[in-house]
Amino acid sequence: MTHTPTDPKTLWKEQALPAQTLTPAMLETRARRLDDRIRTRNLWEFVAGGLVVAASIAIAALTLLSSPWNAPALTIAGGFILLGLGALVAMWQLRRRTSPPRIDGAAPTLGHYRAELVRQRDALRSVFRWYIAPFLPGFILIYGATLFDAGALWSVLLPALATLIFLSWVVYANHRAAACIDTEIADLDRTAQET
Amino acid sequence: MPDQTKIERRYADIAADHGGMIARMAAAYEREPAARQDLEQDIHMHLWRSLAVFRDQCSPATWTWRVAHNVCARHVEMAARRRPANGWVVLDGTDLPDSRATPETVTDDRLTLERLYALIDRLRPADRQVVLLYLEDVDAAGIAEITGLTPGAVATRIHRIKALLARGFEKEAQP
Repeated sequence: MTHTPTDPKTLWKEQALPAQTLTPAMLETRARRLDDRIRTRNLWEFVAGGLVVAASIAIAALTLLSSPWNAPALTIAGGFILLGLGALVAMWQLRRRTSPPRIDGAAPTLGHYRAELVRQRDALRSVFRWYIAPFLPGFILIYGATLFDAGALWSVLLPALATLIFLSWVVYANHRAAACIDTEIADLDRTAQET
Repeated sequence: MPDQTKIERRYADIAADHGGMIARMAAAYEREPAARQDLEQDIHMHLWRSLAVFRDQCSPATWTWRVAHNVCARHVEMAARRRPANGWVVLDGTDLPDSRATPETVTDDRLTLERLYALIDRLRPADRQVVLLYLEDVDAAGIAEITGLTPGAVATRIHRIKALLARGFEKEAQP
């Protein structure tokens, strides 16, 4: 049996796919829901940041209360406070760098798509600067405090090494993701240069 | 900023003129019915919001296409990140997927449509946008304006799309 196929464009445009109709009230509700989701996410970030700072201050205070205020104790306490502050900076940066811009139709779509990719790639590639570096002063002080006590040096070597490996892995994984996006950007650029 | 009444009137006009296109685009980017409806509503919501900054920089149709594509691109972004690099296909290196075709079902337009959807799903973002605009009967100049591709690149892609669809439909016309 031979079938005369319908023209693809006709087939596409005539498919049974009823369009939804949204009233202004429904659109308002949906927009509000989106804003609420973002607000809730931000709130949780603030709560998490607050908890990290509170925990850091608590550990710092505990360190100072449980031992004499000598150089190692002050260094460790200072380290935990810097760690808390570092977490706040990292969280603020995370929000700043990963919040997508509002969508509109002012620019051509592929330009908009490329700008999004570039924004994400740059955020991933610079992850050391804005996500790892804020924690480093805290870690350096905490682990560095053992330098005051030669006997304790070996006890922190393993945790320090584990921290270093974890942070290196974070940087490596983000750089790999950035490289994938770079490939996509290069592909888009090739497409845009075609004449 | 345009007043709310003007925005609502403009949105109503756009929804009436392009509602069908928005529904089809949502379907092309998301096959799961509930998620598809959600995406369609998201497009409407972003479109409605974006009208506050619409200053006739382009035609309402072009603006609508751009917003819709941008919302859909963001929707599939996460999925695309998970897709392996070799998961994409190029326009002139593929055929319409036909894994389910049998002599009994191959004549069915619905199956053709399914195959078309399957193809669209595997295309790179730039190709996907051009294919969808082509299927919606947007001319080459319009596609260039919406996507930002050069007219030459659009023409090349349309040529490949036509060849691809012809290959797929020829197969269907076989006895």
